[in-house]
Amino acid sequence: MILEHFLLSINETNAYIVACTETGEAAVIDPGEWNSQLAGFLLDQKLTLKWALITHGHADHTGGIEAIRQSYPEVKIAAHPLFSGSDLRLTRKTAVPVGKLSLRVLETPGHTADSISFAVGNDVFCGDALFAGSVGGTNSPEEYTMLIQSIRQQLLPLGDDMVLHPGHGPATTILIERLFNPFLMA
Amino acid sequence: MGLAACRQEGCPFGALAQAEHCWHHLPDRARYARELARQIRSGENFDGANLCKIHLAGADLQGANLAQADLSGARLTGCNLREADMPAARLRGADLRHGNLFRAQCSGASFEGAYLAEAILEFAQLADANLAQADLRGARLTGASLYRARLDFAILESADFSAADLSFAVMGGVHAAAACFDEADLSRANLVGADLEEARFISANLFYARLGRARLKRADFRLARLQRTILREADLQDAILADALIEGTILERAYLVGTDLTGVNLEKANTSNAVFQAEEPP
Repeated sequence: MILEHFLLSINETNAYIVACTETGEAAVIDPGEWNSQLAGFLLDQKLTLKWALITHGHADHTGGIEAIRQSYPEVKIAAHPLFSGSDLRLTRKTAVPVGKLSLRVLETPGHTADSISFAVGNDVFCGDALFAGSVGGTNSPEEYTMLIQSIRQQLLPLGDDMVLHPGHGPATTILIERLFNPFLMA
Repeated sequence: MGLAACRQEGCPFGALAQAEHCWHHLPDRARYARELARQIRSGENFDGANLCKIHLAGADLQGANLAQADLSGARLTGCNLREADMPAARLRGADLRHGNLFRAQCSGASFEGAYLAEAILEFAQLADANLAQADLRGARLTGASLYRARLDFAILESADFSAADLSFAVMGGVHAAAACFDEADLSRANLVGADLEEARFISANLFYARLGRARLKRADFRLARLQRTILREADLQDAILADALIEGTILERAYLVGTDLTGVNLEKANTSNAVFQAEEPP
């Protein structure tokens, strides 16, 4: 599997390209913008972009969709059913095929109602649900409770070795968060 | 090279490069090690070679071509690997104590659980390398590139990372008491839960770094960039933050008793529920 991280110029947002080494098929996760670095990586690695996967509908994670549609008309947009304008509606029973890889969808609402995460191998792309030492922002105590529940029920059980790639900031692991994240203390 | 199985009946391991057996079943290990070292020194290419568990302690392997080689569990104590070419090499659990990897190219290499105490890694390329749980006590990494490297739960006590690039590095849970990060780039690094007592960060860049619940007693942050740095619930007792650049810094519930805040404008930080004075004993 190819996994590359890109720091976007908008709001310290992270975008990721995940690709199948065998087939060269690729997905971009959270294209908050579409820039020459992302396009250049696809070209350099001879990858074919098949999917734009959206962890949630905030502009800093979706701002590049129009540019992708124009440059890669064959690319499908996949997101939670509450996100308008997707080609594929993702629920927890869905998996997204990227060549021989299969990205499992986890429903992780709280930061937004349409928040989802993607798991493949030892890696999880968790959008703004969980950050290194922190969690995503919420607008009400109910949403906060829902977010913590999502993290506890969907992310933490994935196992201590899993590497989390959040929508902002550095990568982390389930073990680091389980031991030290102040928002996840009992 | 080295893909065949070991000829010893029932052995599950692969044969070493240019051999018919694994290290354990090799008939004349000393001779094999001597010949291997000679070939490496003469510039032969060992890219992708199986060299698991070999013993080459003290060997001069300067400039070795070992890209993607498998050196898991190898004993390389005191080896000279200056300027070696080792991208994506596998050195899990290898013993490189007192080794010299000055300017070695080790991008994407795996040193998980490796022993690198007192090793020289100055100006080494370790971007995207995996050093999780490695022992780097007293190692010298001045000017090394550790961009996006994994160092979680590594032992970094008294290691020297001055002027190193640790941006986006994953360093959660590291044991780094008395380590030196002067002038290092730690922007967007993950230092959550790290033990950094008496560590030095003089003039370091910690923009948007994550240090929640880190232990920073007596750490020295003079002139450090702490813009948008997250220090939620960090223990900064007796730390020095004099003249540090604070802006959008999160010090929520941080312990700031005895902290030197000379020249620091805390109005630009979130200090809600931070503790500035020790509670009076009852």
